[in-house]
Amino acid sequence: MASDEAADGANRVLSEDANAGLATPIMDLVAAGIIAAISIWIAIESLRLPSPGGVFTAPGLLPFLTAASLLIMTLILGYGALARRRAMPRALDRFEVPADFARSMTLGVIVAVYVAAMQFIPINFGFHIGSLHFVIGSFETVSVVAITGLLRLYWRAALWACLAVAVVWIAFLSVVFRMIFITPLP
Amino acid sequence: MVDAFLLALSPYLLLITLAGVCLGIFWGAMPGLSTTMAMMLLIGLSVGMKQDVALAFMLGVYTGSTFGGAISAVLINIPGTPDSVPTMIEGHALAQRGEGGQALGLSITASFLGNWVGILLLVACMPVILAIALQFRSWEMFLLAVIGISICGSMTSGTMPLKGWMTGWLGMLVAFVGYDAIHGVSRFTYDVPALYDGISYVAILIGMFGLAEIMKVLPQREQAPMPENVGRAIPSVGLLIRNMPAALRSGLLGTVIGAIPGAGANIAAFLSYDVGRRRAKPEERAKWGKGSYQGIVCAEVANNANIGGSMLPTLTLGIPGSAPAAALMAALQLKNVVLGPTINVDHPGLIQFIYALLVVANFLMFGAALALIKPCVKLFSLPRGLLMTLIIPICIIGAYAVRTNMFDVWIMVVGGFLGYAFYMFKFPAAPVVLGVILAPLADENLRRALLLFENNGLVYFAKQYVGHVLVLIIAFVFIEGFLRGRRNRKLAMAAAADAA
Repeated sequence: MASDEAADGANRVLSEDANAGLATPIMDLVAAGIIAAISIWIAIESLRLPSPGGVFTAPGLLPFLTAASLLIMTLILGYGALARRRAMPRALDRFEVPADFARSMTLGVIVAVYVAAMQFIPINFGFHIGSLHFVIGSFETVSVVAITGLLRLYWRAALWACLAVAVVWIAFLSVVFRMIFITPLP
Repeated sequence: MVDAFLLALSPYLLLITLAGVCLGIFWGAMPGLSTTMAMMLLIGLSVGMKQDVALAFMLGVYTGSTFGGAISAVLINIPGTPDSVPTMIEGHALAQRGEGGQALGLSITASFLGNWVGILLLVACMPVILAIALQFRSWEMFLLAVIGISICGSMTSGTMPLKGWMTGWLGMLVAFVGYDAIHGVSRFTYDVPALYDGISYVAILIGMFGLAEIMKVLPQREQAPMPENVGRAIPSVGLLIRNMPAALRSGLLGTVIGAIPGAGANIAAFLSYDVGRRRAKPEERAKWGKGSYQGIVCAEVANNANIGGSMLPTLTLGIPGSAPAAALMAALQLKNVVLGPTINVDHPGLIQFIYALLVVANFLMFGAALALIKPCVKLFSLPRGLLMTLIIPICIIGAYAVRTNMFDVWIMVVGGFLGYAFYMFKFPAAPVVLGVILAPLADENLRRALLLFENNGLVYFAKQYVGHVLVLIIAFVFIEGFLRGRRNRKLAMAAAADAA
């Protein structure tokens, strides 16, 4: 078992990203289709750009070359996927999603709502403690609510514990960035 | 050089470097938190720091985090960072036999030595590479950018280099948005004011390496197991001396691999581990996979030597040697420091300061690693749902801080979904980094070179001997990659036919 692990470790030598590689043919076909559409769109838009100094210094030159070569790559990927699809039983050619796909997407949507709330709920007030001026903006207020909710969802501790951790963490970030690094926050 | 060391050893910078090293060790030790993620988050956060402070902190985190992965690998059989998988295979087997302290001690000493090999080779090779790089003009710089992106594509997607090139090319397309540098024509902006200055690559990178990673790891339900009894971590100089030939070979290998764009600590550790296993004496080889100290030496020396190696092309050519080095380069770009062949002229003393910081960070890593093993063990008992959630506001601050613009935060969110899609469709994300960073360099230099060729004719083009060599390298990378991809596709088809 351990020797197998060692051999497996050695076999992964050539790839910096262990996850990257061949997906199922149907997934490679979908990816090739989406990227081909993007590359055709960029190629057409590149040709429509003005070229004040002639072809060789045209702003659309490298975008066009990049999009055109990307299109060729998608065709190769698509062709390879079709060849594998023919050699493979249809039952094995599934659109595979990661085990926690739904939970991951939910998390992504929650983060998007969190960002939207930060942008569209304008909060800004300040107060003094001694000579120090503290600011509480959208970042602090929305983050405390969002992080408390996320902690309750994924950490599953008691609500008061989630709230306490969120308040302390956001206050720490706020002080470090607003007061020490003088970095504006939303 | 003395001035650089005096600056790096000033109490404030020493404290900042130590803070970076400690954070890096904790970060690297936590399963799911990679060195690349830490460095990408730091690009945005470094905006409020001075240049020397940002460099000290980032190099500290880089050095600490590269080692940190070994702690969880040995103690809980989960690699903190992907490059510590070989250490996990050997180290955890030793920990189960009650030799965890010895294994960790050897990891620390091997990492310390690996950093030294990387730094010394960096210092030795820098003048040579800089002298060559100074001869490069527009055509060569364009070809170098293409080489960087295509080699990175090949290296990050081992069985299917085509996918690596595609993500590198997609990264380039992202970088083309905004005003072009030569004529000031707005490209792909569609009259959206937020796009006039281009898409913030910092936001894209934080999304793809920060938020996407959180989206992958946070929803997972399983919790890391409790650590084995570690005992005291003893720095094992004697063991290292017994394995010195393997250590030096691994250091050299790690540095050379670090200098290849896209090939980072993962390839360095695995390749060195594999070479070490093949070259080990039969009695030593029998221990591999069951708890070999030599296996730990090979992996840990190589992945730490990789840091020095990755700095070589980053500093001399402006081509990042690895994803964390790309993050360092991006952070410096935000301070108007453009790395490349003229670095010594444009920023005198910067290279020496980076050498000094690497040396200081290495010493601090050695000390901090010994002190932090016990606290790290406590950290493993913290739930993933707590730690990963707390990183989300850091992603938001990082994306927002560069241009104080909510549009960039949305770009980060889109980058997160994009990174997750890349993971799902098995595309590597690292070539995107090189694509977005190198596209402006490629764009400007290609157009300048073509203008020169147009004005000087074909004979002038025929005399671009260095350029011809670089074109041959690009051709080699693509042909080798296509052949490798075709071979692997055929293997997959044969496996599918067997299954049928």
